[in-house]
Amino acid sequence: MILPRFIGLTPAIELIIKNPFTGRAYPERGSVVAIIDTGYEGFLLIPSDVFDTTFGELESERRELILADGRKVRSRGVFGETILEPYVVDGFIETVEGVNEFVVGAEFLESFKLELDYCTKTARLELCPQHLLY
Amino acid sequence: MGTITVSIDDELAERLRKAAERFYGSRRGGMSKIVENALRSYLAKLEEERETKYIALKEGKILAEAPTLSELAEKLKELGVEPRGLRILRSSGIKGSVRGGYRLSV
Repeated sequence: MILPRFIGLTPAIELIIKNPFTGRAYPERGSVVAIIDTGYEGFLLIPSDVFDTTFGELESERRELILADGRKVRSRGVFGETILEPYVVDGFIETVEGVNEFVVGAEFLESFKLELDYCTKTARLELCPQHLLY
Repeated sequence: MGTITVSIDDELAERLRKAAERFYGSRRGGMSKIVENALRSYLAKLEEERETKYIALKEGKILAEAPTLSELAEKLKELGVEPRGLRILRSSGIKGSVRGGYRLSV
C-alpha cells in the first residue's frame, strides 16, 4: 500500500520514471512528486526536458490533449514504467511543451484503489487485485 | 460441481442472502448462482486485462512482444536490439484525444 500526501488540498504521490529499454530512470536518486489529477484522462504527464532525457532514443507517438478551456494541444509520448515501491506500473508517458510538473491521471489510477480522506488529510493507494494476481 | 468454503464480510453475506431470496426465491441455490455468475464475470475481466501485450517495432518490423515492458525489454536485450529508433505499441492502443485536466495550461 502507498500513502499519498497532500500538497495543500491536492493529493500527490512520489514515483520514479523509467525507460526499461535503456535502463535510464528519472530521477537518478530519490523520487519525484506527481500531482494526482482525475481530470487528466491520461497516464502520466511530465516536463519536456525530463521526457527528452529519459525517453529521447525511442520513437514517440502523438495525440491530442484537450485543455480546460477547450483548446487542443499535441502531446508526444512513449510507453514507459513508473515505479512506486513496491509496484511497477506500465503506461503511456507523455509531454507537452511548457509543462513544468508531473501529473498522474485517470489511466494511471485505473490500476489502483484510491481513498481520499479530506477530514484527516490522509490518502491510501492500493493496487487492484487483478494486478496482484499475476 | 465443486464446493468451496470462503469467508466474506457479514454485511456482504446478508446482501447476498437477500438477493438470492429476491431473485431466485431460495437462499441456498440462489446464493450459489449469484456467486457463480459474479465469479465468471470477474475472472473474465481479470483474464482480459492480462491479455494486453506490448509490441516492439523497428523500421516497421515487429521484433518482440510481451505482456509487460520489463519482459519486452528483456527480450530485446537478448536479441541484441539497440533502443534508438524503437517504437513501442500496446495491443489496446492509446486514445487519440483525451482531456488534459486543469493542471495543463500552456
